[in-house]
Amino acid sequence: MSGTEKGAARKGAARKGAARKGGSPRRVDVWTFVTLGGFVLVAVFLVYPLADVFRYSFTDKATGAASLSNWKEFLSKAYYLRAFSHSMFVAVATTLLSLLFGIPLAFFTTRYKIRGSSLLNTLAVMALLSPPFIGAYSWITMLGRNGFLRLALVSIGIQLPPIYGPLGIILADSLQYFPFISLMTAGALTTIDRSLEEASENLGASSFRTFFRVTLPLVIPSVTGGALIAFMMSLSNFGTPMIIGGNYLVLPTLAYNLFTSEIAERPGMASTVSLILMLCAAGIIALQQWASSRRKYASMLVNRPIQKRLKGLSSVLAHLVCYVIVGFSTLPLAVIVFFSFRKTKGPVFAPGFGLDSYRQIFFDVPKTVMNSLLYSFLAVILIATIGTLLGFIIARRRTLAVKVLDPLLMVPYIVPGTVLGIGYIVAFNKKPIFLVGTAIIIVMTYFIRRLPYSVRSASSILKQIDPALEEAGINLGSPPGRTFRTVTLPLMKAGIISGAIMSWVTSMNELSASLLLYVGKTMTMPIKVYLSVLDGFFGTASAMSTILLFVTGLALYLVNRWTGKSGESIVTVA
Amino acid sequence: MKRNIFALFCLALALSAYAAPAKVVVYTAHEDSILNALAPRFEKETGIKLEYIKLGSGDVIKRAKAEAANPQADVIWSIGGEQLEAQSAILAPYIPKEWDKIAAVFKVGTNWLPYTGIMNVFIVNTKMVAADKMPKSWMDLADPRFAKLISSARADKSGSSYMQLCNTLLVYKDKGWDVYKGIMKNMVLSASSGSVPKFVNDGEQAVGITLEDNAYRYVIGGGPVKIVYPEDGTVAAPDGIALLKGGPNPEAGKAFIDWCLSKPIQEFLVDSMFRRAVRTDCKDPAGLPALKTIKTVAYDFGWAAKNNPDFVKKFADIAMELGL
Repeated sequence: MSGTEKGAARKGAARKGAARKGGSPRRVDVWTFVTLGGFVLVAVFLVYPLADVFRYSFTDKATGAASLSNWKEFLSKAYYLRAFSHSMFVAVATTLLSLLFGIPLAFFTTRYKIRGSSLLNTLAVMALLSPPFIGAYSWITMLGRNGFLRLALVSIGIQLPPIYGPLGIILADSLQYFPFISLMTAGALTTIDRSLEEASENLGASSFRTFFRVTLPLVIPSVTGGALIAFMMSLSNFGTPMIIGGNYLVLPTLAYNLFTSEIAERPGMASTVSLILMLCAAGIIALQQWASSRRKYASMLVNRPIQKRLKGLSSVLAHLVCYVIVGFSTLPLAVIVFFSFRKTKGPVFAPGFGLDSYRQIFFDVPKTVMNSLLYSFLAVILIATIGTLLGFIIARRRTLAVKVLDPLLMVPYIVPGTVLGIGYIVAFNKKPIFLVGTAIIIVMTYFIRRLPYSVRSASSILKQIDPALEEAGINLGSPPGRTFRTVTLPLMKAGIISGAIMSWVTSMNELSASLLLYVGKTMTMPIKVYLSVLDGFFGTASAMSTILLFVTGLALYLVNRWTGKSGESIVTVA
Repeated sequence: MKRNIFALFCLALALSAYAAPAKVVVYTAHEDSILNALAPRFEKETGIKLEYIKLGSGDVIKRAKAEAANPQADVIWSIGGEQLEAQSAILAPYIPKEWDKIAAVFKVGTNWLPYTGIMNVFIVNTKMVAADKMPKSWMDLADPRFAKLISSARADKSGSSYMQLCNTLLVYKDKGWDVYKGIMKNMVLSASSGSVPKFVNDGEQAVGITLEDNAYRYVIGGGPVKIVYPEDGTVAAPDGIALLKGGPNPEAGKAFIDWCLSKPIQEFLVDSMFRRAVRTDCKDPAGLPALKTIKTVAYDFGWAAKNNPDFVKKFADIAMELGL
């Protein structure tokens, strides 16, 4: 990639000198190359593969001619429309339930002293980052027809509705995704101006009323930002509905079923469903942007909120709420760790404990673990360097070209992993670029999927750094590249490193795109887990997941030590 | 900085490309347990490096077809015969070294080769289905008492499920689709064929339509399950192994096929995977009824392959109609 990118950049730069429009006149410098590099990157790894998906959607499956036949079929068959309404229902319900879990947790942990609140945060983020397949399967072992939790509840007379279908998906999704809301809300709650709440209370409002009339409206942009991510994740989640959806089809499972069963040459319906998924995501983003642009609050941060110490019953209640919410979201992880140490006889669990499952995966572990570590490490290098450079131009160089590039860089955010995987398989197994079967394609998938987050996080860090510092460097005669290296970069360092660790964790757990792209030698840990679950080997899947969880937990601990906040940087895109 | 990134890419390339001189690349739908046992053994016995890519059987074919212009693999290993039959164009014919030892019933030509004998069975959870309520035949599975209690993979995605669909059509001829549609009304479709017996074993579903060897692993694991051979007839057929046309390492590919069909490996598959051997000189799996005591149905691969597009479409249409 780098070679062609440079070549194109050089040629483009020569042309650009003459044809610059907009912005203040500026000579060609290192940032011009970065901008061009950004365009090349987007063109090759985003526009090119997605264009194929787009093309197939508007190609008639039978004749190969340009046509709207796929869209007509989608809109005319109840089967497809039902999947669409299922998806919407699940995503909306998941978002509402996530709000219900996320807001109280954020409020209590930021405003009151809750024992072990950093542990609660870490556990919630671990649940968030665990691969979805295994979590969904743990819910079955707990609440399936024969689940131990269900049986326990039945024995004390409580009947539960079956987990298969929408209820199970909503439960599993919202318990996994609510930390998006709690983390972002918590971030906002710690930075709003306390005087506003005090004013409300001084005017005689109850603390309950103050929360709903003053505090909540102030953090609404963050809450909706978190809700947006929860909605998008639930909308594009493929693993959970696949495992516990039963016969309840949603758009991602429909796209997958269509892609794997459609007559291979023209995946028209799968592409159409993919496009519809992306349209839904884009629509929701537009809605959230519109909603949050109507409410903008500035605060001087003169009066940061303080944490109160609760006493008696209210303290017990606050603790209970926090522990119950996080407890339920961590339950699947506990089940996984527990099952990984159970004795197995083939695929069947036997009484007692042992290391059978770990012994069984011993043959795969070294290579698979090494792959996961290597690919995510390489991806993180790319994410940290390129994401930071692109974040810089977006924050500091608002030329026309950058204004065009900015939304393009956000595109991966609305592309479900399955769709990106389909695009890559089709696009990179033909001339001029053959990448299918290489490690590079996996690394690029990790990189591209994470790019919007790292660009956003870098540019938002930069917005907090006064450009005067850089201007001083340039006024003193330092060229822009050196100024960036010697002035800006050191200021951004902590933010970049914690962002990089979070990128590493998400890359380590990436499944939906790499599943379509891996070959035997590029097997990674989440793929191994998925395959073992599908084969019915829950013991080995649990053992592999436990290793993955351990690595994830370690990374989060490191982020925590570095910045004191676990996991906020995974959610900085909105 | 860009140069560093480029260097890292080269490093990634180098790391992904280093390999021993002799190797064979294989696409397979085999379960992990089998791969974990056989892959190191092959490497040790032949000195050839084995790179396997495990996918669902539909995905194996899809991938091989997509790569036909630039094949990345040498051998397709353990895929349903009718799927191989349908893709003869991307396969290279090969007569294995010990062709004369292969049982006549399993010889289906040389475009692809018989690998192991498999059979359709029902796996039934004995806690959920009383002994006198066991399904005995394909017809029984359509009975409303099994509503939403039958686990099966999708016939348009899983090779074994397609064989089970064809099994029903072969037994019931003209009425076949009515019977299968009746069964589909009772089905909860599973994400893969491998998880079908697991769900039955866990008591999540009462009955699973699966392959004999998959089911038997849960029986000897001590699960609350029983194997039922449908009394209206079960298809006994080989799954296949095949050489891909234009693969990068054809000689290593042939060596791999010969190794898979050798007596020690066939006996190993019988003993540890409970599959029926395709050779005449191997025994039946211990603890399973002899093949001759089971009512088997001859499987017509040509017919199954030729009708595949129609049958798959019909399956998808019914699934759509039933909202599966």
